[in-house]
Amino acid sequence: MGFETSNFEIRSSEDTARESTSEQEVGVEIVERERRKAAFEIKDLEEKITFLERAKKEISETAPLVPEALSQDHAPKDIDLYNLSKEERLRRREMITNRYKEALDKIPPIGKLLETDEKGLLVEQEIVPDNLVFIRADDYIPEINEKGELKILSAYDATDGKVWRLTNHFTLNHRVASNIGGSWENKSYQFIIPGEKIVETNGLPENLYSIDTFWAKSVELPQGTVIIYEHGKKPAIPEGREKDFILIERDKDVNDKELTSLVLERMNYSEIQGEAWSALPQYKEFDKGARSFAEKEHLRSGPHVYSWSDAFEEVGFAKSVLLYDHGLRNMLSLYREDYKEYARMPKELKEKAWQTIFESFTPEPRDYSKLRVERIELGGDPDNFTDEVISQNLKEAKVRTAKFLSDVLWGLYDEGKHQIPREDQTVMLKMVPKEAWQYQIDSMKEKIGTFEGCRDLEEMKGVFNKYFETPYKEITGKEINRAELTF
Amino acid sequence: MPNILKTCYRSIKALILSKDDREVALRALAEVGFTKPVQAILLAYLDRELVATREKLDMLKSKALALRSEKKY
Repeated sequence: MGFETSNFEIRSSEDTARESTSEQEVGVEIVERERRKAAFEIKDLEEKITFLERAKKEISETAPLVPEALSQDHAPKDIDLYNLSKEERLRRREMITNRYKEALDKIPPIGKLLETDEKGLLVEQEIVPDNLVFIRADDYIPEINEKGELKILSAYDATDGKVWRLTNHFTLNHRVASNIGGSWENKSYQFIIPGEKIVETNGLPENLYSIDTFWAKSVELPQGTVIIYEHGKKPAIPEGREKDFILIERDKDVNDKELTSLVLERMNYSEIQGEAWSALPQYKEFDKGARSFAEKEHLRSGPHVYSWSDAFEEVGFAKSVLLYDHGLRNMLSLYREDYKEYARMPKELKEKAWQTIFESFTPEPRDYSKLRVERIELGGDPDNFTDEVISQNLKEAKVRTAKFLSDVLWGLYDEGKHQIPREDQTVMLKMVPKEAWQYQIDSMKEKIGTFEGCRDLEEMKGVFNKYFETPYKEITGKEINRAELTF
Repeated sequence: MPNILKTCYRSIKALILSKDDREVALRALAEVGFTKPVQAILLAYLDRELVATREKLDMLKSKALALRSEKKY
């Protein structure tokens, strides 16, 4: 201590002066550094302003080009069709009828119209294959097999079993509307198939519903099918069967919805309109009739999105559950990239952006878009969907998620207790390829650990043992090794 | 900037830069959904960014001025 004191005491005035100079130097240096930093930042900001001003000018100048861009020689979007006045729509219809007259005249009126009242509204009636027309919009070309059949392959067949999706989807009496799964506008191929013929060739579908009818297999196109194909994408037709199919080449300035509507008229089928989950309310009699026919024939009748099979296409069992739970299924891939940018946008701009983006790409009611926005805001950061985070979330979500999971399992495999039709379970079994079961069981085993601590864990174990065991045996013909399934 | 807006902006750039290939650029514009409302959003976004950037620039300039006077002492 004494040394330190003496050390302090022997400081000369010269030392103090030197120190002061050095402090000044340091101070100047700091100021200088700050100044340089500010100069750089100013330069950056000035450049940014120049860029923003230029971008603004360029975008403003593009204003007169926008309508031009939308009226070029490519088909208008569905949303643009909705925005057209009635007169404009009729004018386009007439123009398209004249242009495709030759092709349309070849179509025989083989269908049967639905019954309507004096106001033109559908009356309660039985919907049978005779008055149904099955429509499929697709970007994939149909394939000819060795038997000379023209087929729309299921994803499972088309990928030699790599994609576990067996279902092959159609809409009834209307071209599919864009929905939560994405845009269905202007696809390369539209297959318009008389109901009676498709059932004659492929049997009844697993599910009969206006907006989503499906078989759990590849579907053969029967005689009488009208194929609308985009300019330059003509499909091959089996040799000697040229007369079985009517091919129409769609020009790029025609929306396939417009052309499909004209084909339906020529085939003498009634056209309805569908939205994301069902036919529009004014066509509710259609779904009612279809459901009544489905019940009689022991078919399923309802939107596919609620059925369990979708889970097999998703990233995994738990992930699907969680995505469903947040109402986010299908949203993941669509908005992953935009989300981070979106999160930083000011609130009022967010709202504008969502509205416009949804209105531009999907013809949906605004409220529905809003609901989706709310849901994505709630838990939608796609960065959260890593396996680790999901496991963590499942643990935290405890009862709610576990209950949801057990509801799904109960719903599918319980025989009547929860009033889920047996047909659903049968469809389910048919739709799931054998290999998927083993995968699903393995994946369940992995994930089940994350439910430790859930209130209804015991119940879940029971559900799993009971309801996976039976279908596993039915499908594979083998017993599940119970030892492996002990939790 | 959200990706949809970025894509639109890139398409607009393509349109302006490639006068020879106007058709391609116009198609790109329509395909990315460059409709009037999207254009309005882009402009609103740029306006907002411009205001914020100018404010920031003004602040920085005053700071730089202060630093310069500080150096004199």
